[in-house]
Amino acid sequence: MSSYESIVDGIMKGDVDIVEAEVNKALDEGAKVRDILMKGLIGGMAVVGERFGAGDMFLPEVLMSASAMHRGLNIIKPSLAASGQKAMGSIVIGTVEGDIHDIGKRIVGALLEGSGFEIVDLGVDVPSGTFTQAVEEHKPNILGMSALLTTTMPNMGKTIELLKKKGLRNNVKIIVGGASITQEFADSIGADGYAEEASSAVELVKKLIAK
Amino acid sequence: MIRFPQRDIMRANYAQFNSPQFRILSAKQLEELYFAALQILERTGVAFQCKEAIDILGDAGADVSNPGRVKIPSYMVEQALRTAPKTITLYTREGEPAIVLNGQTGSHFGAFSGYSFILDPYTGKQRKCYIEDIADTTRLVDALPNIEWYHTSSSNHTIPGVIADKVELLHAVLNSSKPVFCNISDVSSMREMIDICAMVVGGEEQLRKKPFFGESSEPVSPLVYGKDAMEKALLCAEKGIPHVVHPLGMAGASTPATFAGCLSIANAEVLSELVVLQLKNPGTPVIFGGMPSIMDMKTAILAYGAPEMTLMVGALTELSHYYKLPIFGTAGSTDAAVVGAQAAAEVTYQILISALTGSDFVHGVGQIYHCVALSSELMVLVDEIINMVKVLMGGVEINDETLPLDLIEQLGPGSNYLSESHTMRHFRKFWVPETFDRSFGRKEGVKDCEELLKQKTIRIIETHKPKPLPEDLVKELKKVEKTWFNRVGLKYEYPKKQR
Repeated sequence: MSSYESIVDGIMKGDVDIVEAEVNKALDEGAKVRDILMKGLIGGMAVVGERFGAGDMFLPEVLMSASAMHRGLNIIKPSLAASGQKAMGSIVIGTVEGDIHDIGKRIVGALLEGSGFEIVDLGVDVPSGTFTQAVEEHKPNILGMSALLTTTMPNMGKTIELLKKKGLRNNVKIIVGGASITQEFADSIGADGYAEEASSAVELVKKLIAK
Repeated sequence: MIRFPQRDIMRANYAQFNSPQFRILSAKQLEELYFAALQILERTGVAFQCKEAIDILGDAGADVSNPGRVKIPSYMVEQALRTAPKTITLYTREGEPAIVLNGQTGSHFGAFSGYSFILDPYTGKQRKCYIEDIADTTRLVDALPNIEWYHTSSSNHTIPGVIADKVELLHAVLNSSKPVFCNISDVSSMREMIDICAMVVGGEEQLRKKPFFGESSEPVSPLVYGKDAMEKALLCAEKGIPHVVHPLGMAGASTPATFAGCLSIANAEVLSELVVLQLKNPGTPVIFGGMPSIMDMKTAILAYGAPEMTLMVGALTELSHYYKLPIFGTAGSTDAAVVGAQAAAEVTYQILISALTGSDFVHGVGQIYHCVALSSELMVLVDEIINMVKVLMGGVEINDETLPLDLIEQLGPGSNYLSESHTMRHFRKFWVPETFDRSFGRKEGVKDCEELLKQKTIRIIETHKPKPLPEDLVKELKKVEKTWFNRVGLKYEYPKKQR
């Protein structure tokens, strides 16, 4: 097995220790960080994504794989930065003000992280002002907002309005999600994207960033 | 005619099962789960985001030094279990007793009166739920004999979220006399809803004495009480309004993935809120809730038709009865998007297990598509299935009349019982299906169950007339409703139904 294959294997198993050891081994053997990233880490998550889609893997296994991938990513991050290789993109996420539901947003965050995106999670009950500040500070490609309740949904629109007011709206693509959100609602508040469930959020983000 | 001597008068040490016997947990297991919850409350603690609740708990002896982990000693839980009412009576909007909840009266099923989306009974397509639909489904609830109460959703998508809960309640109350429980956006909205209900029954004191309106809200699992949910519960305590505490733990996501682990989180959550409410106002009517289910690990949904859910709700029912509190159960809901084979299978075992465990106040009838949409045909189907389950719950009665050995001997082998007076006395107790098909052959004109359900649903919606409220009262209620619309800058008119 090549070390890339071993990394892929470690990611499939969701085994942080294997991934850590194999990434270090590959670095010692002089492998290019770009190859470790693309062939090993991202390659591993691509297989995981396929198997999840086919129903052979389940969410907890995917999340374990994602955290194993993330451990590997952290090891090569310094060399990646030095080599000028950029992360796939950065995403700020949070649950809107008045809503303390966390799990859906976390799953989306973990899946995106596992796909190689950098995630800044602002947590729950996040006021519009905090979202806009984070957009200013982190300059993410994507802002993702989550809401479970029909009563807190409108706060997504408020955040978008505030971003417009501050002249930040065009700097960032906005995605929304949560049990009560619909495509129609997403369109009505001027969001750029909506996904009905977590795994399609990853596809959505890739599509929006490629635009 | 031979007459054997009577046997059923002097049966020594005789006991009869009047219903099938069914248990999920042993006495020791119930105690074990109770102690597990006590340990969670005493050691792990619960997060409270409502200052009043924290103060109440702190004053009574809980350790509130870290609001993220408020620790509640066992004696406070025991005290709360003592003061919580063991029997709660719900009334119709006319003030007639409708449902007694005390763990002794069997299952009382309730349907939803609205949702974000609805399966249109005319077209069979899923679409947005309009105010008109809320009136239709509530009228259906009013007509169906086995649906004894209903639940509003506060998740209407055709009017702004801040007034949707109130508007839904108003249109539901106009269309049914039955008791109603509500999901409510926040405490200020709840005050306005109490006002509406007080207008209907003739004052707040009357509403307290003969409650036809209750509130249900949930902690955010694991072990977090948000501000809104707690404030609403505290208002229930203040006003004497029946309150359901309804955790929705997702095994494997917001709770441990095992049944015992998931149940323990729900148990600790309910008990901790019970403590707060009994301290606030001893005797506050609390219905022990909980719909622990699994997170479906492919889609991340909270499964509404999973057998794991029904098993855990059944276990929670036994646990609440161990505390001598009535339970808010779940049945009549499905993950399927249509009312077909999957829906029928899921709702049938939910109803059966609810009945077998004596789940008191069973919510959820009509929910489809994992709690995103509502189906009125499913309500009609559930009404029929409850009739089937009633037969099962009757058990096998044995006495001289039901065990006619004399008749059997008289007629002997090879005879028939069709024209016997004994048969005449009893065959009418056989269940006669209304929408299930037993006819011969599929001749032209024979209708299947789905078609019969659709027809019955539409017939009821179009013809049932609920008891009207006095005209003057309706005018007053509409005046209040107009102020809600104006407050959010809307003209006072309902969005037109689009199919």
